[in-house]
Amino acid sequence: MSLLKKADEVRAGFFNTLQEDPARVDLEALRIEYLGRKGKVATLFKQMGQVAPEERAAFGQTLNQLKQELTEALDERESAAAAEKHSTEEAKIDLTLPGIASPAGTYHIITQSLNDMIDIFGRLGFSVAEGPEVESEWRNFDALNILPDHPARDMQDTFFTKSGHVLRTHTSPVQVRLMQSQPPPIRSIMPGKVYRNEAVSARSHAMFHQVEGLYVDKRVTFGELKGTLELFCREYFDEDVKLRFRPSFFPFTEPSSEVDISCFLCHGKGCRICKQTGWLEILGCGMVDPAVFEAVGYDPDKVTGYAFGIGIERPALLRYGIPDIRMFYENDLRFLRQF
Amino acid sequence: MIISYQWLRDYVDFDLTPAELCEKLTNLGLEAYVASQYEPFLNEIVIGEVIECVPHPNSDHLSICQVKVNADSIQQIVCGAPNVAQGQRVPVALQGTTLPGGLEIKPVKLRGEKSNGMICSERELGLSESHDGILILNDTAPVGGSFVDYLTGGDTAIEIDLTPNRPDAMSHIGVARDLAALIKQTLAKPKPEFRESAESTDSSARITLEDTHGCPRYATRVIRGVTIGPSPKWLQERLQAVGLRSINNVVDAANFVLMETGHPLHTFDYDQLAGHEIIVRRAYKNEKMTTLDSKERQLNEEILLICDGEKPVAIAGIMGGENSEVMEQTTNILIESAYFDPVTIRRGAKFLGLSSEASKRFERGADPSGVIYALERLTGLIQELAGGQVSKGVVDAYPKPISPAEVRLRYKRCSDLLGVDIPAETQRQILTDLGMETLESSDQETAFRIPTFRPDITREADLFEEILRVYGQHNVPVNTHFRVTSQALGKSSNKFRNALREIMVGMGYHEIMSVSLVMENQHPRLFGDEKPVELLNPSSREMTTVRSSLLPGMETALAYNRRHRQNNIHLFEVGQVSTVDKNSDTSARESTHIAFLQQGLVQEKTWLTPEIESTFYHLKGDLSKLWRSLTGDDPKFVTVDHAILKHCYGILLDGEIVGYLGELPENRLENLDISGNVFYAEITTAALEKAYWNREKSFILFSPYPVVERDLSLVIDETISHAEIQKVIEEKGGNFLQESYLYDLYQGNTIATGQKSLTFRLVFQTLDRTLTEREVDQAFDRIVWSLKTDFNANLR
Ligand SMILES: [Zn+2]
Repeated sequence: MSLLKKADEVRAGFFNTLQEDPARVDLEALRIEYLGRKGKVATLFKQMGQVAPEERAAFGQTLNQLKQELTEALDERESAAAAEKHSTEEAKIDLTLPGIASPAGTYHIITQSLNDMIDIFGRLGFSVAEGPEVESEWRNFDALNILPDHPARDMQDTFFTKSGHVLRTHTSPVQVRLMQSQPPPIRSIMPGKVYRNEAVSARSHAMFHQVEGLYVDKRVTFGELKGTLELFCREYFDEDVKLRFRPSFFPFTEPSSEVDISCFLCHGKGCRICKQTGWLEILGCGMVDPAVFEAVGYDPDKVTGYAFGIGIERPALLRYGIPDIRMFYENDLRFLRQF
Repeated sequence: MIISYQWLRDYVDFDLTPAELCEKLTNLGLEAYVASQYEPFLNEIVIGEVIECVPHPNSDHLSICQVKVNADSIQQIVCGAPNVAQGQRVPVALQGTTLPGGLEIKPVKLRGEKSNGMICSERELGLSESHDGILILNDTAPVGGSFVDYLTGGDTAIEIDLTPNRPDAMSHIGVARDLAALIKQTLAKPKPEFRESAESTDSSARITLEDTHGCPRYATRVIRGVTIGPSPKWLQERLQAVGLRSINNVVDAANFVLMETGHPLHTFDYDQLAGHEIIVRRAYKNEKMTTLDSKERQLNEEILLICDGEKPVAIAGIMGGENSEVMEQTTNILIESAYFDPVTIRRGAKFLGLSSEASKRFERGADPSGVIYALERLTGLIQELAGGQVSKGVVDAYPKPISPAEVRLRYKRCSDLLGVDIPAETQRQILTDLGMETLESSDQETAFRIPTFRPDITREADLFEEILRVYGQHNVPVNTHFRVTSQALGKSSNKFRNALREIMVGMGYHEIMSVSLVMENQHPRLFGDEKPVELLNPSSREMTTVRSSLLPGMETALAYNRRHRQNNIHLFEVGQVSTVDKNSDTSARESTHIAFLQQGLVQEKTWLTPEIESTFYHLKGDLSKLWRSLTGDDPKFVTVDHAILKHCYGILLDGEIVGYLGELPENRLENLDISGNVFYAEITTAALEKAYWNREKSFILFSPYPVVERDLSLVIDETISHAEIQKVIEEKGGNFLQESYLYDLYQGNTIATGQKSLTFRLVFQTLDRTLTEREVDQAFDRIVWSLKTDFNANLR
C-alpha cells in the first residue's frame, strides 16, 4: 500500500471516529492515538525514509497538511465540547452563595487621621519630626515663653514625673528640640501624644493627639500661614470649607490666632454641633514669638516663622459623630472595624 | 465677663446690632457672643393685664381672672395667689409653655371653671425662691410684650471670653476703647464730678505701705455723712444686666465703677477702722481673718493684707473683711483705690481658693495710673447717690511711680511679618487710637509710649499684634505662593511604623490605641527590670505611671472585647513606652514597641472552608512574615524561660533579644477573666527599624529550567525537633536544593508510640540546565542517609 493511501486511511479513520456520537468520543484519547508522539501521524512521518527522494517533498507536505487538518478538527471539537460543558456546569453553580474573604484588619482612626495630615502637609513641603513624651519643663514651658507663674504649669493642669519632669502638654517641645539642633530653615510638623491633668469624661481625656507645625525662615508671613492652613483645611475637612481667623493669645506666638472653620456638618447654617454659630473652633496658630527664638538661639531680627497646632480627637469626634472621646481608647472591635 | 450692650453705648457711639457688635469684638480679639442669661422657656412668657378678678364660686382661695394677653386676646385664668387683683400687670404662661419642673401649660378646668394659662410667681419662673404670690410688674409693662425684654429693659448681655493678656478689656470702657479704634469713633469717658468739703483727706486718714512691692500704690478719700439706702433703678438695672446683685447704693456704686473702668475699688466703714489709718502689710504666720462672706480664712505669709491700726480689715485685692463692711447704719466711709502686684494677688487667690471680680483683674494686671480716675469717679457717684461731704484732696501713697514702657515700631517690619502692606500712617493711627502716644518718629519707625493699662505690650511684636487686631486678620490676603525650602524627608520613623502597620493590617490585625498611663502594678517587665516612670500628681488611681510595655493596654482591650462577646480577636498596637533612665535629661528613655495578639479562631468556619483555631504557630507565622517583609530575612529565635510568657521564644537581631512571642499564662488570663489560649508578641523596634532601612533589595537571578520536586516522608523519634531535621536537610541537600518545607506531621494510630511521621517537600533546581534524575537522587539519598545515621529515622 502506498504511503499516500495510508495517509488517506488515517484521515478517514480519524473522521469516522470523530463523527461518532459526540458524547462518547474521548477527544483526548483520539488526540494521543493520532497526534501523539507515537501516534498514527507520527508513524507516517517515520516512514518518510521509504519514499523515493524526488517524492519526499510532496509527501512531507501531504503529511503536514494531514497533521494540521486533524489538529484543527480536534481543537474545534474540543472547544465546542468545553463550551457545552461550561454551560451545563454554569447552570449548576450558585453564584449567589456568600463570598469567602481573606482576613483584613483596620488602622485605628487616629492613625488614619494623623497619616492624612502628614500626607497633606508633606505635599506642602513639611517633614515629620518627633520627640519624647516625657519632657523637661524647660522645653515644654520656659523655652516657649510660658513663665513659671503661668497657670498651665499648675499641678492641676500638667502631669509631673517624680523626677521633676513633665508629660508634654503639647508637641511644641519638639519644635524646641528641632530649632536647637539645626539652623533655619525649618519646615516640619510634629505629630504625637500629649497629656493634660484632666478628669476623664465623655468630653475630655488626660491623653490625646496633636499635630503641630513650624515654619521658620527669612521673611515668613502671616499671609502664608493663612494660605497654608486654608489649603490644609480644604483638603482635610471639605473643599468648600471657610476659615475665620480671630486674634487670640498664646505665650509662644505673637500675633496669635484662633481659627474657626465653617461647620462641615451644616455648612455654616447652624446646627447642634456648632452650637448654632456655623463655626467650629479647630486650631490655634500664630507668628513665632521672638522670646521663643531667643530661647533656642535664633536671632529674631533675622528670621520669622509661624506655628500652628491642631487636635486630632475633637475634629474626628465631630466629623464622624462619635459621642464619647473615651471610645478612641476603649478599642472596641465594633468601633475599630467601622473605620 | 458680661458686658451690657446698652451700657457700652455710654462710652462709644455705634450703630450695630448685638450680633454685629459681637462679630466686631471677636475680630478684635475679644471673643464675644450674645449671652442667653435666661432659660429658653422665659422667652415664651408674656406680660398680661388682669382686667377682671372675681372669687371662684366653688373655692374660698381661688380667683377667676380675665387676663388681656395682647391687643385682641383675653384669656380666663384661674389663679390661687392671694395677691392677685384687678389692674395688675403680671407674667403669664400660656398654652404650650413648659415651666421648670416639667409643668406643661394646657387648657384645664379647675373646680368647674376653665383656665387657659397661669399667672406666675418668681419661683415658678426660676427667678428666685419667692413664692409669696404672683410676681407683679410695673404699671408701664407693655401688655402682650415679652417678659424677658421687661426683665432686661431691652438690653442684651454680651458674654466676652477674654484672653489672659487683656486685663484692660475687663470693663465697659476697655471694650469701648477697642471698638472705638475699630469703628473710628471717639471714646467718651465720663468726667467725675463732686463737691469737696473743707476737711482735708490728709487729716482724716493715714496710709502706710509696709510692702511697696505688693502694693505700689494706694489712694483714698473719706466721705462723711452718707445715707446708705437702695440704689436707684438705673443703677440696679445696670448691675443686673451684667449679672451682679444690688446690695446698697455705696457698694453698688463701687461695683458700677469696677464694671465701668475695670479698676477694683473697696469701701470701708470709716468708723470701724481703728486709728483711722490703713497699713498694707503681709500676713503673719498663722494669722486668720473673716471675710465678707462670713468665712474665716487661714492666711499665709505671702498674702497681702489691708489693716487698720489694730487688725486686718481686708485681704488686699481679693476680698474685704466682715469687720469693716459698709452696712445700713454706716455713715462715714473710706474709699480704697489701689494697685497691687499681680503675682502676689494670683498666689494669694490660689492659696485661698478664692476668686473675686477684684482678684481676677488684679492678678491679670490692673492699671496703676487708673487709680485716681476710678477713685474720683466713685467719689462722685457716692455723693450723687448717698450724699455726704467729700474730704478735700486725695491721699495718694505712690512712692515709686511705675513708668510706662516705650516700644519702637519699624513699619516695614510689621508689613513684612504680616504679609500685607499696611501704610505707616495707618499703623500709627491704630496705635494712637488704642491709647499709645508717639514719641520720636521718622518715616521708617516710631517710638511709642505704652499706657500702663496695657501691661501686655512690652515689645515690638506686641505692637504688630495690636496693628493686626485692628487692621483685621481677615483682611490679610491669603498667600498660597510658598517659597518652600525642600528637605529630604529621609528615613522617618513614621514611615517605618506605617510599613509595619500595613503588614499587620494586611494579615487581619486591628490596630488599637491604648491609654499610655497605667497603674504601678501594670508593668510586666517583659524585657527584664524596666523601672517605670512614676507620676507625682496622678489624676486617678488607674493612671499613676507611664506604660513600660504595651501588654497592659493589649490585655485591657482583649478583656473588654471578650466581655462584649467578641471571640475571634487579632489586635496590634504600635506605640511609645517609657522607662527610667538616669542618663537622660528627662530621666526617662522612650522606645517604640509593637505588640500583637491572637485569640480564638484565625479563620471562622464558612459554608466552604473549615474553622481554624489560633495556635502559637499562627502567631509565629505572622511574626515571620512581618520580619521577612520588613528585613528580607527570616527571624532568628531562641528558646527562653520567660518570667511572664509561657512556651516563649526570644527574637534575635544582631545577637540581641529584641522581642518575645509566647502564650499568656493562666494567672494573667484569670485576672482578665478570660478563657482559652492567648498568643502574644511584643518587640522593641529600634533594631528592627535599622534593619528595615538597611535592607538591601537587589535582583537575584532565577532559573528558567524546571524544578524537580521530591517528597521525603520519614518516621522518627518524637523528641527530635523539626529544626534539627530541617538543619540536616539543608546541610545535606547540596547546591541544587532550592527549598524544603514541612507539609505534613502525623502522630497516632498508624505510627509507633514515641515516634512521629513527617513529610517534607524538597524542591531541586539549578540555574543553567535541567537537573537529571540521577543528580536529584544523589542529593535525596545523602539527606536520607544522614537522617538515618543521626536520628535513626526510617523512610515511609
Ligand atoms: Zn453646624
